[in-house]
Amino acid sequence: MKKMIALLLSLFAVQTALAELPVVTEKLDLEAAKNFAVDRLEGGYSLITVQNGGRFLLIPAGMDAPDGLDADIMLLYMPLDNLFVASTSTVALMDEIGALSAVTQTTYDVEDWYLPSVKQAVQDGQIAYIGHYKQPDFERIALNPPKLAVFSTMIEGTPDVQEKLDELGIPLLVDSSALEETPLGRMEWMKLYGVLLGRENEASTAFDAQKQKIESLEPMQENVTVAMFYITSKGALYVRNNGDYMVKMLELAGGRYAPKGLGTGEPGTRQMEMEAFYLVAGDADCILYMGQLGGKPKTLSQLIERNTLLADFKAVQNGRVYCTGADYFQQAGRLGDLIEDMNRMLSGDDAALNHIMKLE
Amino acid sequence: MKKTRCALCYAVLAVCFALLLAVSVGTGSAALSPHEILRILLLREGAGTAAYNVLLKIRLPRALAAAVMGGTLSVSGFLLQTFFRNPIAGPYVLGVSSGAKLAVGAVMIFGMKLWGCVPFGAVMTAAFVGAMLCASFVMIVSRKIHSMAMLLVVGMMIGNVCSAATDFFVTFAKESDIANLTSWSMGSFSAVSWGNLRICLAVIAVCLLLCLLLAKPIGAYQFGEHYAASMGVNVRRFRAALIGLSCLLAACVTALVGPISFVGIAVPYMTKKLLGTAKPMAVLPGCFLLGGVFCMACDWIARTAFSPTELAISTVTAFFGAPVVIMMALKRGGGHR
Amino acid sequence: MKPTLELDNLSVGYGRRVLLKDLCASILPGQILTLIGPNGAGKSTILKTISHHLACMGGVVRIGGENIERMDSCELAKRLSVVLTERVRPELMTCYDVAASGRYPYTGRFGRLTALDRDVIAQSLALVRVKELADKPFARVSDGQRQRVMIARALCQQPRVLVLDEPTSFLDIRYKIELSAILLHLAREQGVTIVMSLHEIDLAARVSDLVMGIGTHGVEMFGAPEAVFTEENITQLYGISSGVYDALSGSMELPRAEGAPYAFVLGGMGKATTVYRRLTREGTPFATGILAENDMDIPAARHLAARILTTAPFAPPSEAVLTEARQTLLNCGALLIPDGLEAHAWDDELICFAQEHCVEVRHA
Repeated sequence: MKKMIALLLSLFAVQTALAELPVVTEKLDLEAAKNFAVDRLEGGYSLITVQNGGRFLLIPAGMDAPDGLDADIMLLYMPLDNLFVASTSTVALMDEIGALSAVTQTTYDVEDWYLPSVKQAVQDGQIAYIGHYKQPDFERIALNPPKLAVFSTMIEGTPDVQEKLDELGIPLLVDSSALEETPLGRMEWMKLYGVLLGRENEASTAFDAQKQKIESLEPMQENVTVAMFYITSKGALYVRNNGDYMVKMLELAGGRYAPKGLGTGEPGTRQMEMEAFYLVAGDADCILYMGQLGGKPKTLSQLIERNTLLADFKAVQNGRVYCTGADYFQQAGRLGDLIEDMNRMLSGDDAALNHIMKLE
Repeated sequence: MKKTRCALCYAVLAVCFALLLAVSVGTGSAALSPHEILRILLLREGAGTAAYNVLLKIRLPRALAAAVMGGTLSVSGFLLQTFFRNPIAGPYVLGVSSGAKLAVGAVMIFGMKLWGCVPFGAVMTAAFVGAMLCASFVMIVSRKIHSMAMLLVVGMMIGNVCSAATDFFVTFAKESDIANLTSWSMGSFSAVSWGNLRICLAVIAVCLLLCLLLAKPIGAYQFGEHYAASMGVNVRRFRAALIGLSCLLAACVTALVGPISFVGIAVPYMTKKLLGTAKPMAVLPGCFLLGGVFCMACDWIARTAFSPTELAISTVTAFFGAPVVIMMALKRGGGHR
Repeated sequence: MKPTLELDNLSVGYGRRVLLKDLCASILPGQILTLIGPNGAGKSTILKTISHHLACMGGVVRIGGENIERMDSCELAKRLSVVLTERVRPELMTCYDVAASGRYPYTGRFGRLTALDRDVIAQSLALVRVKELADKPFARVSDGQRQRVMIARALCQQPRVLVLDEPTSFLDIRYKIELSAILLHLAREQGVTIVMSLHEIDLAARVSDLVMGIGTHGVEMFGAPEAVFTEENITQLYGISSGVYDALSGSMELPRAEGAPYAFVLGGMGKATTVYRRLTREGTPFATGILAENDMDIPAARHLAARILTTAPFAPPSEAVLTEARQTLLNCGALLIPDGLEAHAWDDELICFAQEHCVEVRHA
């Protein structure tokens, strides 16, 4: 008898112990994104891990948090309908999956938005502008405490804002989509937001649609080389590295990136002297200029004003100079569209361009 | 009589201080009624509510920071102005802010490269250490130099060296790092947290008390080093204490909120004009009060003028402080002497 | 009486350089020691060493028998105070505040003034006669008044030794006289030992008990003014090569006009001295006579005249002197009669002689 009781007790103990640690039932299937992971747990919870950005437990509506969790896991209770988002790409991804209404506070004002739906929402007051991301109006944040704050990796430069949000008890998620190496990887973050905002199907559909656009592109007949860069008002020239996602986009669109050997596969841009750049990209067939960062030129002559050596570039002489549109870098959820546009640029289909404009 | 004028000024300053504290705590984007404010402040009711958070986690630390940092910078400025017998000297004249900026820049740029993140504690420590290293260097050099003008030059040159070194690091930095460093160096009361504020307040309180103990030798020093020595002041130790305290105070402020200009130069002058005396025992507390009033007013303007966009605090302090400095220069140059 | 200030084989200098060696002096309470000498010889260095602003390069300075090097700076401040040449510019202070700062060594941690302190300050202000200025801003009073307030400040330290570095330099004659009177009073009535440096040797001669002459070769003379202030001493000390120091008047005379005398000036009873000076200024060499040896014009005449004719006091001039006078007059172009001169018989004679021999006679 005593043995039976002991056995039952120990079984019970084991059972409760096991019950304290939710079991992982499946992982979210990700094709390209490497910087986040979603583990589905028993009981309907989801454990979200963001590279260098902490762990979150998503708790379905009406449920309580399970016991025995590590202290560093931040708890998010669904529905997450009050979000403070300081990253434009995050807002774009949320818009793409139809969850824009969940966003209530942002750090960009009306004039800084180029996505029509977002612009309208800020204008109508559905999304409130609460100041610059380095000095947000904490009072407004505290008055209407968001369930989650999403920042881009830029928050690493303002650790005091991070501390303050922590002090106010607001969970922070750092959107590291910019650190993804491939365009699909970047876009796949919309699946994360799908999980968070209860729109997983919409996220899958939107992602697949964009992927489809890329896959259904006809391969290019000719080899078109493209140079991508911008020049700041101080005259500094920045060129995209060979490992950057825009270069990958170009390759998916069927083009080839003119300069070689820039970087060792890391994303981002690097500064170059114009003469050195001319040597590697002077005979590129096409130029795609990053307008928003480089003075927003509207005509070819305005571009050449930024550095007269540009006039000697083959692309300039052949009149194949293009500039990214105002909304180019905010279309984080529509990289497929952007790649399609690049494809049109490569084949000279100027009339159908949506997010790129030709400089005449 | 002098004494009544002083007493009256103190009363007015204290009232202004309290008033501005009340205004800073009472106004903002959130509309809180005075009734609510008093309940939360005095009875600590409603923990966890939005109003509680706004008041106790956002407005109060910010108002206190503005008040105390402003007062501290003014005291620091007064100490150095007395030492150099030059009204243009400010708390940063011995390279304190340049040293802090260099350290913060190095930490931001290399910290990001090596560890991918830079906690605010690291920024604060870096700023403090950088400031004190610079000041220590100047103090060591000052042993060999006896001319005040030369010491000022040395301080400025060391500041320039630090700035040059900072620019050197900046060439290896990303645009975003540069932007972060630039915005740090403009100073801000925006995200002051209680934990950091408490540490700073403790250090500052001790230093300010020590300053009061220095009031008597400072008064003697106003006659010049030779006379001060003949009255019994140990000039070497006094110089070290004065510079040390001043730099320590300035370093604390810079560590918490970044460099804030003009407060340390303009406020001591205004205080002396107001009180009608330069006696340290009277001016030190006066500087603290007026500095707090000035800074609180500037911060209030910075955060409410174009809400939710915040002006940089240094912009506002320069806007009000620079004319004062100009007036002071005109008065001295135009008058006798 | 025990000496207040003793210099025991004192060597002074800056850095490694020794400027003066083996200075010895013993000053009693109430004595005034004045340092004179050319610039750069080391007067200020000595004063700075005595006041412990510079370290002794050798030897000892004792105040009241105690070595100042062994004294704590506060102790020293209660025994010795200074008045310096450097201009003091304390901001927004009244004269009372400036004087009150002298109580530094006696007040507590925060410098509060007690009733005793206030008494001392009041007495010091009264002593230098600036009581009425107490509430005036220090920056607004005159140089002389400022200097007196600085002395009041020094007195508030209740020193036994008061060191002053060229205290009269910026003062006009009225304030020089007043200051000297104050210093004398301090020495005599209060028993304060005063050590100062002065450029005005006429003042030094009148006010000092002891004079130390510091020249390019070190201490060249030390003693009572009567012994120190001779023409040779002063000429040598200051290296006067042109012009002259007159020990009697304690003042100077410009170099005499060179050449044979052109004018003959009748002298006597002090009336001719101004004429001598005018002629010297104009560059006219002159002769003068006939002066009694004890006449008041003699010092200036000795220094400035090309030729001087004298006679014993209270006796008419000898025939030889008269002849010489006439001879000299013949070689001159003019005879000048100073204003207010009470002519002796020989003066009238010389006038007639001049008129007879076509020498211009005029009033000076």
